[in-house]
Amino acid sequence: MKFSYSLLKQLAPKISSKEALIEKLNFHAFEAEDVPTVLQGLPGQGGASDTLEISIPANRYSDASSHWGIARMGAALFGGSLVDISAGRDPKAELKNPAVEISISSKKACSRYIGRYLEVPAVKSSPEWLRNILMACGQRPINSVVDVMNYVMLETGQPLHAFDADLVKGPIEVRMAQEGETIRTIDGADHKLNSSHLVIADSQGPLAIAGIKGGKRAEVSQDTRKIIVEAASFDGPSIYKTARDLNLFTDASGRFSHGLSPMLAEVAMKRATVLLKDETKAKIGELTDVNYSKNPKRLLKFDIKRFNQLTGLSLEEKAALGYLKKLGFKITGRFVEIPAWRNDVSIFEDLVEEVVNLYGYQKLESQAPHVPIKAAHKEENIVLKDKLRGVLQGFGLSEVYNHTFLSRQDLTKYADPKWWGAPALLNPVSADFQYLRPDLTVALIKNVEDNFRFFDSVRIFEVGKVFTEKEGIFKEEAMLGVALASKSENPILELKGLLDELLKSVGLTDFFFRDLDWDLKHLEQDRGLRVEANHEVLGYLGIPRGSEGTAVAEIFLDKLLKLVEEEKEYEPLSKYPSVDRDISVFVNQETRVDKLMEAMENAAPQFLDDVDLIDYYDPSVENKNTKKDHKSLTFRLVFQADDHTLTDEEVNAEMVKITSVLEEKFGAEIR
Amino acid sequence: MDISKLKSAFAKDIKAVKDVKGLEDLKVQYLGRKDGELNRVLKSLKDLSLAQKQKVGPAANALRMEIESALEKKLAELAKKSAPTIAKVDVSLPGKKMPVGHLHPLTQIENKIKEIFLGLNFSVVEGPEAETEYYNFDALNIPANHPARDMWDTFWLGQKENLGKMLMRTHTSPMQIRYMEKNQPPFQIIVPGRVFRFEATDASHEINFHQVEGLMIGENVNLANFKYVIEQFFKKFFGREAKIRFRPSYFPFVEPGLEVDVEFNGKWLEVMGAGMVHPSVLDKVKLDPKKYQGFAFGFGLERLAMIKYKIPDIRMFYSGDLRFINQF
Repeated sequence: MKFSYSLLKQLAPKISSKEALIEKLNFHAFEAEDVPTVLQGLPGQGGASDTLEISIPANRYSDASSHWGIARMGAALFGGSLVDISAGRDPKAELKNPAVEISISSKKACSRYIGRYLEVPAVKSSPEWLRNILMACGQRPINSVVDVMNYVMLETGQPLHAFDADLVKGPIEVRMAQEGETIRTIDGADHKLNSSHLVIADSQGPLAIAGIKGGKRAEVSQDTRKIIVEAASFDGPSIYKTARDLNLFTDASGRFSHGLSPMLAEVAMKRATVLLKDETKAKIGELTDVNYSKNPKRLLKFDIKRFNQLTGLSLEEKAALGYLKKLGFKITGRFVEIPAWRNDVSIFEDLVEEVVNLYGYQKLESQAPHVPIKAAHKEENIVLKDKLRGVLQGFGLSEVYNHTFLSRQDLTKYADPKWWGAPALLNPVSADFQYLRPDLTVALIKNVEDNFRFFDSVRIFEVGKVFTEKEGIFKEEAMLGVALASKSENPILELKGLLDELLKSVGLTDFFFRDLDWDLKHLEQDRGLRVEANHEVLGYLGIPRGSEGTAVAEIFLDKLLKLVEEEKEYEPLSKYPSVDRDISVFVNQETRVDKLMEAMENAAPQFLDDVDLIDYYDPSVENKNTKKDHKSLTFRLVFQADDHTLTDEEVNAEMVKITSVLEEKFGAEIR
Repeated sequence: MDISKLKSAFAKDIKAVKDVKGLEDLKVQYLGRKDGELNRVLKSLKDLSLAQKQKVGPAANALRMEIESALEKKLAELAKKSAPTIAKVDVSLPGKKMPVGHLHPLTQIENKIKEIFLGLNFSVVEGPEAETEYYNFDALNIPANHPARDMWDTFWLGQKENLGKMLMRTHTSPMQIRYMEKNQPPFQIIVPGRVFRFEATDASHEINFHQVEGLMIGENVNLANFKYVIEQFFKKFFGREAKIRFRPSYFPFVEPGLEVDVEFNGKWLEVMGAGMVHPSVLDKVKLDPKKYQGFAFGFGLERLAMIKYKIPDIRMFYSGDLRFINQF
C-alpha cells in the first residue's frame, strides 16, 4: 500500500527522515520500502519521491492501512505526539433539510451506516496539496468531492462514497440484492447480482454494490450540487465473497474485506465534513447514524511473568506496559484496554507481539533451549528413500525432479486419463499441468528424450509421490521411478540387474521377477516383468511403447518399506570348497532361460548352490547357419555341500540329473 | 583299462602338460574318435553284459565331460601364461571415465539441512502432499472467506469420497497439526516436503516447490530459544560468518510472528517465516496453551539452494536437464 511521507510527517512531526522511517518500520512493524511516485506532475519534489510502499498484514487493516495508523506507529517509534484527527466536536448542521432517511435490512452484513447531506456550491478540481497527496499514494485526482472521499480514506483507512442527492430517489436502504438484479457501476460495467450480494439501494434499485463500487446512476459529476456522503461498516467475509463472485476487486473492497472497526466510519465522516466545508465551501446538513451499538470496552490482563516466559526476555512490567501505552493502549494497573481501532488484538499473546516488536528483536539475546534429550531420528520411509538414492547414485544414475502435474496429452500418449486414474485439478494453472501424475515414468520417458539431444545414454531416477483416484478412492503413494536409455541397445537387462542389486541392498531378501501379466498401457506387453515379494506386486519393469532404447521401472515404496524391516543376519562361510561345472546347450529359440534355470535348480536341489548364465549367442543373429532357430546357452553350475568336500562322483551324479532334465523337458542338445 | 584307472591316468598326464601343443595331443590321446582311450573303453562295452553296460556307460559319459572341462580349464591357464606381458602404462594419459551419478541439488540441500537439524536433536518426519482443507487452513487459524487465505493461492482437488474437501497443500505447516495430534511434547521436528501454489511461473516462482517446516514444543520453549536454534542452523548452513536478523511479520498460526533475513554477499535476503505457535492452534490439537508453548518456522528449499549455488532460475530444478543436475 502506498503512503505519502509528507502526510505521515505532518501527523507525527517527530518522524525524522524517510530513510529512518523505513528502517524503523521494517524492524518494528511492517515491511516498508522507498518507491518512486508513479503519477507524474508533482511540483516541488525536486526529483525525490514522497511515496513509500508499506505491506500491511492481513490482520492490520483496521488500524494500520491509513496515514493515521502509520503515523501512530511513527510517533511510538520516534517519540513526540500524534495529531489526533478524531478529536474535536462533530461539525454542526447548517442546513434545515430533514436528515437522510436510511434503513438497514441486513444488520449482520452492515454493522453501521452513517449518511450526511451536504450542499456544494460547485464541483471543481481540488487544491494542489490534496492532489499531491493523492498522487503520492498512486491515486488520480478526479474532482473536489470525490478527491475528499479518497483523501479521507487514505488518512483514516475508511472508504467513503458520495452520491448525487438529486439522483437518489426516496430513502436509502442497505439490503441484500434481489436474485438477478443488475447494476451499472461508475466504470460503465454491468453486474448481475444475487441474494448474497449486499447493495445500497433507493426506491428505484441499487445505487452501489456495498463496500465495493458505486453505481453510475447517482454518480457525482460537475453538475452535482447536493450530495449524500456515506461512511459505513460492512462485514469483511461477505464483502470478500462478493468481490470474488463478481471478480471486482477495488481499493474499498480490499479494505473492507479485511475488517474495519466501526469507529473509523465516525472519524472519517467527521474528517470528510470538515474538509468539504474547508475546501469546497460546502454547507453541512444533518447526519444519520444507523445500527451502531458501541462495543463494550475490551480489557486484557498483562502478565509480565508470562511475557518473559514466552519471549525469553526479562523486561520490567512498567517498561512493557510503557510500549503498549505508546501504541494507544490505555493502561489501568495491570489491565490493558484495547483501542477501538485494533480489531487484531484479542488475546494476551497479541499484546506480547506488540511489546516485542516495539522493543526490537535485535536486542533479544539468543538462548540455548533446555529440554530433555530424546534420540532424534528420521522416519523409516525417509531412511529408505535416502538409502535408495545413495545406491542409485552409486550405480551412476542421476536424480531428476519432475512436476507433480501432467497434461492430458502426456497421459493420452499411452492411455485415457480415466484408465490412468489420474485425478484432475479443479483449477489448473494451464492445460500443461491439469492432472496429478499417476506414475513417474511418463515424465522420465520425456526426460530421456530431452536429454538424448545432448547424451548418448541417459540413466536417471526420481523419488516422488503419485496420485490415483479409482472407484472414488483417492490415493497418494510414494514411488521410485528409474529409466535407463541408450541409443545403441535396450538396457532392460541392465535395469533388471540393477533392480536386483538395489532391492537386495535395501534389505529385501525374497523377491522374484515374473511375467508382467498386467495391462500397463505405456509398456510393451510381452517384454515386461513384475517384481513380486510376499505375494505382492512391488513394481514392474519394461520397455515403454515407442521408446525402443529405453527401459523403465517403478517400485511402490510403501510396500517395499513393509518388507524390508528384517535385520540382516550373518550366514557362516562354508568351510568346504565349491565345485564349478559349465554346461553348454542348444535349445529352441522359444525356450525361456528362466524356465531352464528353474528346472536345473529343481533337478538337483541337494548340492546345486547357484546357476548362472555366463554365455549366450543367437546363431541366427550371428549369421552362422548351424542350428537354425536355436540359441546357444552356457551356464555355470556351482555345487556345494555344507558338511563335506563334494567328491567327483557326487557332482557327476547331480550333473546327470540336470542334463537329463534339460534333454527330456526342453529337448536341449548338450554340447 | 577301466574307468577309474583311466581317470587317474588322465589326472597325472594333464598335470605334465606344458604347452598348447601338448594339450592338443592329450586331447587326441583320450578323446580321439578312433583311438582315444575313452573310445576304446566304450568299444569294449559291446562284449559286456547288459547290467555291466548300464553301469559303465554313464560313468564313461561323466568322465568325458570331466576331461573336456579339465582340458578347457588347462587351455585357459596356458593361454594366460603365454599371453604377452602387460604393457607399460603411460600414467600421463587421462584417467578412464567413470560413470558418475548425481543427486538432485535440492536433495543435496535437503540432506544438508536434515543433517544439521538432526545434530540439533530435531527428528525428521514427512506428510501427505494432498491435504484436506482442515489441515491446510482451518486448523491453522486461517479463516474461511478471509483475504488472509489469498496468501496461499491454492490448487483445489474437490470433494473426495474417502477424505473430504481436498487441495494440494500450500505449505508444510499442516504437519504441525498432524504431528501434534499424535505426539506429546516435548519434541522438536523438521518436515521437509513438496508444496504447491497456484501462480504464474517465472524465474522465481514455481507451481510446485519445497519447504522445510520446523516445530519445537515444550513447557518453556521461547523466542530466545528460536533465535538460538536458527542462528545455529544458518551458521552451519552458510558458514560461521552468516548474519541473520528478525523482523515482525504476520502468519495466522503464530503469535508473535516474524520473518528471518540472512545476509549473503552484502545483501539481506528474506528466507524464513516463523513465530510462537498460536494458542488457538494448540487448542485445536488439545494441547493446553497454558502448559505448552513453542515455536514454528518454515522456509523454502529452492530459495536456499538458489542462494547457495547461485542458480538464477527456479524452473531449472524441474527441467530434468542432466547438463544442469550433473553440475552438483
